[in-house]
Amino acid sequence: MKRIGLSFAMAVGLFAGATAVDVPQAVAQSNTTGSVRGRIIDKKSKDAVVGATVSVSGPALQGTQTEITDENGSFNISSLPPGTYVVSVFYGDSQFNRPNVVIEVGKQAFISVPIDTEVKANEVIELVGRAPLVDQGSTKVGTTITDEYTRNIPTGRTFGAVLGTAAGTQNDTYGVSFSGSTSVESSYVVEGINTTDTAFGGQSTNLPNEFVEETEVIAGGYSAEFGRSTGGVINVVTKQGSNKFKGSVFAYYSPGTLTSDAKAILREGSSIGSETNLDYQSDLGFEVGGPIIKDKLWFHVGYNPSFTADTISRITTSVVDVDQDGVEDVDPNTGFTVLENVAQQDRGRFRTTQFFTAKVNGAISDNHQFQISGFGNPRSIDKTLYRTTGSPEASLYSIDDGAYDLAVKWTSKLNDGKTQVDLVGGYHLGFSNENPYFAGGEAAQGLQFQNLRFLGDLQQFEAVKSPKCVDGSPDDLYPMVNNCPVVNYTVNGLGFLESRDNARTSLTGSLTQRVNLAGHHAFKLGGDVEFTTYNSQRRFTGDAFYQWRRPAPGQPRQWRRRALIETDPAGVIPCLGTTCSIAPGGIQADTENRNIGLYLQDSWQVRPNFTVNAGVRWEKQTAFVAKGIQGLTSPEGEVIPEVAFELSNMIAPRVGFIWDPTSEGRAKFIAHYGRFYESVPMDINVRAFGGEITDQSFLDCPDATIDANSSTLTGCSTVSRRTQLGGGTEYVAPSMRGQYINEVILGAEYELMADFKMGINFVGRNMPIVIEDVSTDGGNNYLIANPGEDFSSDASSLRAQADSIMATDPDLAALYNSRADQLDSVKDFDKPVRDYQAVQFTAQQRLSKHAMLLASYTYARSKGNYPGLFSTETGQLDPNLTSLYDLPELMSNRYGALGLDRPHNLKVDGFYQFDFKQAGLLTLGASVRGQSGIAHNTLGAHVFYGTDESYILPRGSDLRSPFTWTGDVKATYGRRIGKNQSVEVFADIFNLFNNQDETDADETYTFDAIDPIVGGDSSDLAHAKQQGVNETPNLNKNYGNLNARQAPRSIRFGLRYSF
Amino acid sequence: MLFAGCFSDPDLKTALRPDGLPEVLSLVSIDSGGGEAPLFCKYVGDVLDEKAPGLVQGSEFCPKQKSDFVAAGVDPLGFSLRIVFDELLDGDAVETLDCPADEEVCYGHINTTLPVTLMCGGAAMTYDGYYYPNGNAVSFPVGPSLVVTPDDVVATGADCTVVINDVVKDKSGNTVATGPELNQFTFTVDALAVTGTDPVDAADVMDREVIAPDGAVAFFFNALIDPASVTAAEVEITNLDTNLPVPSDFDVVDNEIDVFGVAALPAGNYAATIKSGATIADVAGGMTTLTADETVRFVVQ
Repeated sequence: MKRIGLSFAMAVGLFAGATAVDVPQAVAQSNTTGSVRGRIIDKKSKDAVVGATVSVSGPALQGTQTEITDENGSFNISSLPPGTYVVSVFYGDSQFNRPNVVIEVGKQAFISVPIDTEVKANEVIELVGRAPLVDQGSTKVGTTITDEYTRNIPTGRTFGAVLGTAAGTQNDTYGVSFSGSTSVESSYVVEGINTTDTAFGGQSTNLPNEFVEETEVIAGGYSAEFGRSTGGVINVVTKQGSNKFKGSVFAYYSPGTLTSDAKAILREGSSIGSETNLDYQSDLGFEVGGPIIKDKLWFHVGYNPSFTADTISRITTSVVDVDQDGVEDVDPNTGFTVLENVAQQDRGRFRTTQFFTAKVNGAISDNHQFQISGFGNPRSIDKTLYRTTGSPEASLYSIDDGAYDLAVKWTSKLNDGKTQVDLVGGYHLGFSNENPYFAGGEAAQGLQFQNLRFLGDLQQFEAVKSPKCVDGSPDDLYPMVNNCPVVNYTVNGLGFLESRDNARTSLTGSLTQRVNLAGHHAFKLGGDVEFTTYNSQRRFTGDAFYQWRRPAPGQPRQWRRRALIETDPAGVIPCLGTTCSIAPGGIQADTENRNIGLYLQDSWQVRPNFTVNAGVRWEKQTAFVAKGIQGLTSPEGEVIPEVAFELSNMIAPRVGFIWDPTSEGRAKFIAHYGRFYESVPMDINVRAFGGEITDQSFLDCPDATIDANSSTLTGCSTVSRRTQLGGGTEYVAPSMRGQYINEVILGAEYELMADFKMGINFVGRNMPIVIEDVSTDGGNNYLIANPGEDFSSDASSLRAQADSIMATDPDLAALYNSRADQLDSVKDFDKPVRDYQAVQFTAQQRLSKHAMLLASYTYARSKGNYPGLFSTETGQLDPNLTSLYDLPELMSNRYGALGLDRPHNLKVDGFYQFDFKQAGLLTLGASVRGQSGIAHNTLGAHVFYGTDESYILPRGSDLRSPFTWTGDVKATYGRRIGKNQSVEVFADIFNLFNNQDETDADETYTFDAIDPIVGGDSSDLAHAKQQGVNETPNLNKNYGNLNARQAPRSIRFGLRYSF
Repeated sequence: MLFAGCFSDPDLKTALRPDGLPEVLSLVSIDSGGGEAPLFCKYVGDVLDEKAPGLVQGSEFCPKQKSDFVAAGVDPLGFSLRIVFDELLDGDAVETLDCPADEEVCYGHINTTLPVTLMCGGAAMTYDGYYYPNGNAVSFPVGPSLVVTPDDVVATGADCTVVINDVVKDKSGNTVATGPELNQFTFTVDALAVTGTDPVDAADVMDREVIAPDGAVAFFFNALIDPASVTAAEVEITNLDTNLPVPSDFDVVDNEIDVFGVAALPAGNYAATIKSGATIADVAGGMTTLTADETVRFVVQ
């Protein structure tokens, strides 16, 4: 803290001194605006024009922004909302106007304005030309999604659906991945406030494109003002009002009847499948903005309800044995077991999202402006399917989720614009509530058969009783075989559900000062503080979930009961053995975090065409234990603290270089290095510090029976073994460090012709330190640390503490010594590896000559043993608590091509406008995407951690899914129907060629427990054994088969009336 | 500097050591109850080989320092050997697979590939077993390994040798280097001994267990006992209240000697004893002479 205070004092001193310096310099723009920098020169002599007044005006700006050129003829005007501006130069008694200067959010436009200083007085000269496309202000890589793009390119309806446009991005399980990071590592900033989900990371707030002015997608290379992201930064600016009333009414409709049939995904070994077919998707909305007080107070509002109806078909099939030889028939063409439909149930699902936005912009004066905006996306999903392989009545549930946000911003320019103060306050509330749909669902315990069963044995749970599935019945067409196999069939209750809310109250401030000191500096000192919450109510329906376990050789049949345990009322956690009782209704964990960030950065323009951006960011994260268990006492006598962990030494340097060899803003070479720390999502607060103790009891059930109307098993009461997972709170290594990535970017951009640029970038990232929970004693105890790092000094300290209390408190001393032993072994884990290297080729044409283009090709490789904040294989989303590092043996074979390793990635978006003048405007847009498939794995079950947790062969050593591509097209016809009114009709065809190729494959080699064949290959599989026995594993018949396809062709129609 | 070495495979602790000749990291005894303990661990100097099993699931398997290593014995009741290698073997060379038509799994055999030569008490032992390619130094069981199970029981106290043959090759065709503690390992079968009794002996009268008047006291041994090696003179039951022997008899069943009264025992305190000096043999020819009485005190009510 002392060093930070000194830095702050130094910075203030610099700013104070700078007030006497009359030199405009590069200024880092705030999150929601852009800037323009330029140089005024004499047309003939090419000398700098000193003392000219440069004024910027445009419909997006309240008032004007003005500066005087310095001795180099330079100017720099910041805090410009995205839009098109006129730059006016006043020199002598003449005025020179340079229109069509496009300012994008987060970017710095550069213009060189040659003027004739000998022109006659009082003349107004209109100059021709546009600002070059190349951003001269930063080393950021990524792209900016504009209104022009979303109107004319076939895209999804929301900003969240267009993020994949940027080079280096790809979709993953939970969103859009940036530069090899998982999607939940990114930061989502809307209107200057952080709207990232506090619980798991990832996107929480979403808005339709009609409400959005621009979306800046930053895939890397960002400066010190951006933090809490090890992925990308998504920076969204919503529309605002202006001095004119403007707006639109719009409607979209996607009929299910025009959506192509999805090709079936055949699965071996399961007679229950599902298909989801769209009935319709529609939305209708408006957005309008205008002046409340001209030039002083503007408003913008919008409302857009969205409706999606689809039908989920649960299809029951039977195997076929036409020749009655007792062997299931196989289709010689596909190699799959022949199946025939025997029953189908259709369930309607309905989803509604209420998007809204409201915004007020005000200007006290040109130099003091404010903004208040509120927006949200509450959603309701009715009757969605919890699982397919379950009794139909017990498989439906409902979800209410979404977010509400409020953002308040203040910007003041002082000292002739050389000093700028930005303040942003925000409140984000995300929520998600899961509830059973069926009556009595909350009280019903889930009972799951993890072994192979046949539906004929489960007819009591099947609403559609298919006689063909009843082996031996008169309707059994194939009596020589078991007709309807099913694995993991679940009856009665759903299982695990959660209701949660996640809030973030944030305040961000920055002070920017331009200084002339060995060149031009723009110092920016800023900070932010966040108070975040994650309140979670987690439960098993019926308070418990039962799983029938395949017995180990020689072991009896058993049911495993999992339940959440109530915190001991005596205040002792964890409660042990018979003193524990199952928590009725689950457990509630109300948790908090406090995040602080400070940064100091300097944009130093050493020369007019060479800029150094350097900065350092300091972050601190304090995570708190759930309120309900703070102050309780553990069995060893340890008082549960208030603070779960504190990460305070997160210092992230950033440095970048920008060189423009043309000195005209038409090219740049960049180099960037940065370190970026993760903001640990609060799932860890709830799971590791929320009092969660899962009781796992094994019940001997030689004669168990289940009544379909009963919520409990009968004949199954003897508990033969009982274990508890979690201890209510986990121990944290005292010197644990924050998780971070290092990033290096080298790149170049060149504007080949007006409004068209090409670029090449190298992006390299690695992740040397991660935070994960680990167990060094075979799963008896867990601690949270940096796996692979040396914590021996922590262990020594702990042992010294133990020695000092050994005589007075032997239990606590023993606990300390046990922890010291665990700390000593943390270094024995494999160190984390996540290396990402990419070369990106980009091309962009800004809308000109009726055309726009945005294209990229990326060659990237991603290797390692740590995919990120979720498991790309199992989908487990428990940031920093994945099972990955739980046991040393789980790390075996984890190194290889990661789940986001797609070497080739091609993206081409563009449109062309045919202007028929009075007859209207026809715009044809297209979007092409192509990418390599992922490399697959050969997975088995771990004896404790279950399915797919054992990498039998090294990660990614199995075949890749094929390269896939898709082409979307859009046609828009628009016509003016008045001076300021127009109507557009449009149609999008997604996946025009209806490519439905494989995007994923079944990686489960076996459901049996099996240890990895370390460094093995397919030739070793024949000799693989189940864990600890001389028996090869039972193979998953569906292993290697296609598991997912590209979405089928669909068509969307739309109408927009603009005024 | 930052990305120097990127994409060169990192040195992972969980990785095997596929380069070079295959080496034996550990020779492990698997007892009749499935418990495993090291008979040999590979040390480099006094330090455990970095790829050898040290901590396995939180418990010390091979000590880090050679000076701390104490070789376990081998269970005469039935044992297997697990020979742990530092790299994968050519599975087809060391193992054949038996895949019954009515099952979906296969079972490994090494009784025809004969990857080792096993000698105990100077005699060659026939064996079967399997190749277990799974696992590494941190998994349980540790691996990759050959599991060797003698077909016959081995005499208690026997000295044994296992030699890895040239049929054992790594996936590059390399064979194990020859020499002691390279491809040749020795171990000893535990001496014949009593491992437990039922009921348990207790000096304090109040702690003694009650058995039925026609019940027996079982003395458990660590090997199958040769019934002919036990004589009536070597066992007795004594009435501790009168300090007089009572008529008794015995049965030998597998690895236990059951001592009981010829007639139902009246209520009282008793002691069942296998006498010092008794010479008891196992079915494979091993034997031991008790140097002290083996006594169990019990109560009949």
